[in-house]
Amino acid sequence: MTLSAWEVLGIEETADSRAIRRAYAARLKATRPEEDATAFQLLTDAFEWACADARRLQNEQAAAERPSAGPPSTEPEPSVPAPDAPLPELGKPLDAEPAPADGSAPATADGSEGEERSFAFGPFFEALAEEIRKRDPKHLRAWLDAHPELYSLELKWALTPHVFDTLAHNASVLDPHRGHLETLMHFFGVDARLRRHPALAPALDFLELGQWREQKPAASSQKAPMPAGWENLANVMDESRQGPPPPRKPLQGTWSENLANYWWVFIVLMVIGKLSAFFSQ
Amino acid sequence: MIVGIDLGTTHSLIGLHGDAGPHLIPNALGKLLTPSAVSVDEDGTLLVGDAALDRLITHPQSSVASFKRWMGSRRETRLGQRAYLPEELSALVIRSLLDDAQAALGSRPREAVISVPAYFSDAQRRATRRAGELAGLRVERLINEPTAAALAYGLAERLDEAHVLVLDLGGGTFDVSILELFDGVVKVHASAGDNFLGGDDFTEAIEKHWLSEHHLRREALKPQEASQLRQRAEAAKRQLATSQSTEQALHVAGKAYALRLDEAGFDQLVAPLVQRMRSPIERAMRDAGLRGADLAEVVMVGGASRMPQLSRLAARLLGRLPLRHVAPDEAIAHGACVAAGLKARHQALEEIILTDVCPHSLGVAISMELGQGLRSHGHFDPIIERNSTVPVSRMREYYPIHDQQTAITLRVYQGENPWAENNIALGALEVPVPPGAADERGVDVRFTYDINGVLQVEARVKKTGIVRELLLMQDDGGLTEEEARQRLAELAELKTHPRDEQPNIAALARAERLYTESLGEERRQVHALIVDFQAVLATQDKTLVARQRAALLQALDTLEAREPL
Repeated sequence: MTLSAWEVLGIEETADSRAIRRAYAARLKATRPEEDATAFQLLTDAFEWACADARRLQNEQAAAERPSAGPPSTEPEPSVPAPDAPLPELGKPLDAEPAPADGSAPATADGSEGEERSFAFGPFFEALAEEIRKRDPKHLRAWLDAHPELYSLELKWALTPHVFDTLAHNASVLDPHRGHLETLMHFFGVDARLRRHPALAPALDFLELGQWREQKPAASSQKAPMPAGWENLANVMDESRQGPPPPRKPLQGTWSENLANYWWVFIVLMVIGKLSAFFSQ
Repeated sequence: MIVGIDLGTTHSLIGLHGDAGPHLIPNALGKLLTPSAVSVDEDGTLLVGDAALDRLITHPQSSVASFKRWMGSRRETRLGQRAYLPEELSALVIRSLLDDAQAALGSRPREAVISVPAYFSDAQRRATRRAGELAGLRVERLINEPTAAALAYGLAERLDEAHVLVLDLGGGTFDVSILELFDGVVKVHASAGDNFLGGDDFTEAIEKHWLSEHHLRREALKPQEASQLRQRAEAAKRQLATSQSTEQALHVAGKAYALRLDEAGFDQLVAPLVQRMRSPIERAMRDAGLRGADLAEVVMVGGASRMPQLSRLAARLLGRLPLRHVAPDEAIAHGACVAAGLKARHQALEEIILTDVCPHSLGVAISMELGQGLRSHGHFDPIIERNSTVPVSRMREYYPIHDQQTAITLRVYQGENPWAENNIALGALEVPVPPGAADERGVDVRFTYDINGVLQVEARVKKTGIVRELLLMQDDGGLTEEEARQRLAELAELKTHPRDEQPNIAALARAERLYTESLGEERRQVHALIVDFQAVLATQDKTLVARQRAALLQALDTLEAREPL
């Protein structure tokens, strides 16, 4: 029962994806999906695992061949952030199966990193922040839809963790609504699976719970330390803010608390109403 | 003999896999495309296809089209004496296709493979299956439309070691599929789509634009006028696919309106629709883990793929120009024929194996521990991830929240949203759990999704061994067996015109439509043509009728080709 994927495929362990596919195709002729579902699933799972493993091996080999230069030096200019620093997952497709071998498509990794570097995240996020601050979710969506560079699939995927991470770190300044958050999640294709990805989940948990609203008075002092490389961006944000954060509607953050504390008032009012109706008869 | 059927929103096709490959069968009018339209005339006789489509304008109350969009719902359409369910209307179209096959092959096919949009839900798939059954077929398999298109395309082009992205924009649905072909295996990697986005929506956008431009209210239009507007918008859409601007005429309450639209205006009108096509493409690429450069081909199929908007969007997203299929309307039907050949184990296809995926994530609603005693409810936990190769069976373990809990309710959902309530609820299953500490009372939940898209849910309590099952096939709002049998009998009783009369009836329906649409001198001309043709029909001389019909159709062609207004 505990056959390895290689045993199921009937080949030696290999990084040659062509050989894996050939073995799968050969076995499939005797294990058709419409005939034996269990055997077919076993074979297909083995095939998919083997493919992922082969890609991992290829990646490791490629990494070993590369000159062992240190991490790319971080530019001090805010227009050229060093996205590798804060999140190790950066530049990899987020949909990579978290459990098995990393990266179901590491082919994306190199290319998108290259593209990422030519894309100025700082100004992009600044513009995004401006949209969040001034516009409603509908206009935010229109702005995102029209953004020419976000048509690049690789860039969009690579950007996703940064957008939410940076937003979480600047939440107390920007105070995004739930609608903004949902728009962003929808646009960046955050689904049930991606929502729990380790590169996204902490930022999204923080944003969805609106935690910055509770730490209002000491927001700036209690803020979690910025990951390396993001200080510049924070400065950009602070400068553009100029002074204290924009005044909030007084009830916005607390109406639910009020409701929780004073719900009995409604009951009393209702009872009084019923009683007066009763007595007026 | 197993036939392949493409049951489309706008038109349907039938064919089979012969020795020379897929082969489509023409209808009584000699056309491969039979419009998916049904009409009932005054004496209760049924009309399907071109005649019904023309009668949509002359007799809108007793004609219907685009009913594929209602599949899976119980929406009824009244035609003449009887109300029809969407699957019954589809069954009538299939029956007409089977008549064509019978005429061409000499015997009536009994088994079929029918194509459905990849993104069709469980209920919609079951409705399609019922449509086949109501037409007297055994539906051997449902094949996803883009899979079918890519199957036929890949085999015809003899692609090997190649990834192909298929964009299928039909009348009512948009599908994206990524397939890989290697060593005789056609493996679908990912499917995504939008069930309620198609060429019809583009037509509707044009209609709305014109109505508001001329300050007309849709409710104020007579049925004929509304049908005419629809037809004009459709013509404008087709024209804008190849030219810069279009001009159409519409007559409302005796007044003539000039309807104009240019390319830029159309682009602006449909921008929101184009945006909706973006996320399925992005999702399919992400799920397959591919970049634009990894694709060997990007193929567009479906009639609405003729619009330049789709190819422009694809080029922008994928960084490469997509290829329009040579016969975008026939690609899916070809694939359905190949699938039928596969099912029948045709020798030419002996070595081909097709594997498909489940396009939706399937899972249950759960409550999550946030730490510090906080819990968050209503999260969606997928058990079968979308784009898993089917058939597939996966298991996950769940625990009660409290020690005092006596039962776990598993609410089953389909969708991609992190919040369960934003997904489609498929059903619920209650499982009793024995007393004890919460973490000792795990329940194994197994989801099994078969090759035809049927989901089975099984929950097993680990401690007691109690098993509860939920077969989603059974408890759906569909028909009971009794009801199905009765409807089958009712449909069988509907009369149709004899096959050799159908071309005459279609020609007359078209002439009548032109009569309705025209005014003045042109109308008198059409009237004269109709009278002449009816006189010849009365002679019952077949050769004379055929000659007169050809003359009539030619006259109608010249009339229709004239400039509006």
